[in-house]
Amino acid sequence: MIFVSKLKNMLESELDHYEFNTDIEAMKRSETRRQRRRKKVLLSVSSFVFIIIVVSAVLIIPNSKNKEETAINNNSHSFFIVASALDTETNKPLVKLTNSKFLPQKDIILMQIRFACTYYVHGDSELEGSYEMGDKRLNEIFARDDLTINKSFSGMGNDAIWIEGENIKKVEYTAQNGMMYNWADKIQDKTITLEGETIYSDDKEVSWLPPNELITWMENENTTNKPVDFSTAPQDTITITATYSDGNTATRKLKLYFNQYGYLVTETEDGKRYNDCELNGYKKWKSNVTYNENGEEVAWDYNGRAKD
Amino acid sequence: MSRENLMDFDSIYLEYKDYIYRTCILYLKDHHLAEDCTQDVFIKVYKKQKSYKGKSSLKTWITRICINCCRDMLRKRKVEDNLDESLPEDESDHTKKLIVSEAVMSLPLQFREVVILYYYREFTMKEIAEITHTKIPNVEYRIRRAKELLKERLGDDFCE
Repeated sequence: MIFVSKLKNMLESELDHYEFNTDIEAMKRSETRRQRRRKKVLLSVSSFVFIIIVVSAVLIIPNSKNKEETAINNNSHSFFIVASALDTETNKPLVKLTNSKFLPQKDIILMQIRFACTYYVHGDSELEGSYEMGDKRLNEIFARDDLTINKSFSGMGNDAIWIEGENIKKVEYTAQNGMMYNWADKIQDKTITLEGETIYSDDKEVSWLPPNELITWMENENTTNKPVDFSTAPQDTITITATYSDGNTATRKLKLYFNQYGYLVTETEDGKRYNDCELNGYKKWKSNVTYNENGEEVAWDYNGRAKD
Repeated sequence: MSRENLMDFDSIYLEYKDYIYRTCILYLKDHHLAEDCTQDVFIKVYKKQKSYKGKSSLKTWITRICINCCRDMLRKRKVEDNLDESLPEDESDHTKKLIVSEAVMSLPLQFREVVILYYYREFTMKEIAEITHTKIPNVEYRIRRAKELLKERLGDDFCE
């Protein structure tokens, strides 16, 4: 008889011969050098984890024809919400906001939010395995009624909202239906406020926690025989209010919802929609995506920035 | 461990290197990926030392970093479920261990994750909720569901 309580002992005995060894001094030296380089950068964001960005904004560049989205405010201050881009080769976040002569001198807020939906299929050795949302083989899989299909939602590591800029002295993040989470202080609340030096990214991150009803919706009926109907998924709105050194404020609202293909979409107040972004270098983001009948992205607009 | 003691990175590395490595192996089911992931974990620990304020245990803090790195690794590499981990063969007294380990590794990720954290690493549900960035009821559901799946896969030899 095997008891659940013995799982630990059994797993330990199988794994106790695995030992990890590396040159930690070399690792520390490398990291120290990297941190020194980063401190010299005026505006820099570096992330170690995975994340995708949902929100992008159009930057006004002096010689650019792109439209600018600015915060709703009653003074001269404004901020942009910028998607953090991914390097297409390393798949690591890559947003270069410093040393750019084309970068307007405005505060920038970065946001990274993404959820992944994975289907796990059992019952056929040919099809057994995991499939991400949008995989072409899912059509064949859901047409079968003899397979066992489990679905799994997962946040993409740190679903983080970062902020960059020198003139912003305080930022408030408010979720309408969900919650906000401050990783540094481990505080969860409807509104999270960052002030002073805590505003800046890299170790000071605020995450969006989906509404409980969304989590419940995600978890409900884990075994499924049909694709998830994302149109019924709960929604949320995040309000970001930045306070500047002169006391004035600027506010942006972002609506979060799943589109019919399961992509988490962020929509700004003027109706522009942004979803998972791909890169061409780190300078372009997708918006106004058009899908085909299989849920594949077939057309989109680039809100490009001029090259550095 | 207090926040001040956290600055002794070398000690932390020695204490947790195998703990993290073996957790990554179970999570990623590939010891090569686990090596890369373990390296990433300790680089993050080294980098984020100052952000640790001691509000959770060091073990919880490091494990959360580890889980996030594992998730990131799976996402980047798009690793398929792979049951070909190196395990002892042809030893009758290891038969049950093989079955249990394979059953755990065959679980969907969200269930495998809680089995690793709850049974293997003996975290509380509250700690697991913090590590996996979810709610306690969800953790309870996943553990309950994981037990059901393990029972299906292990058959009559598995019971509580």
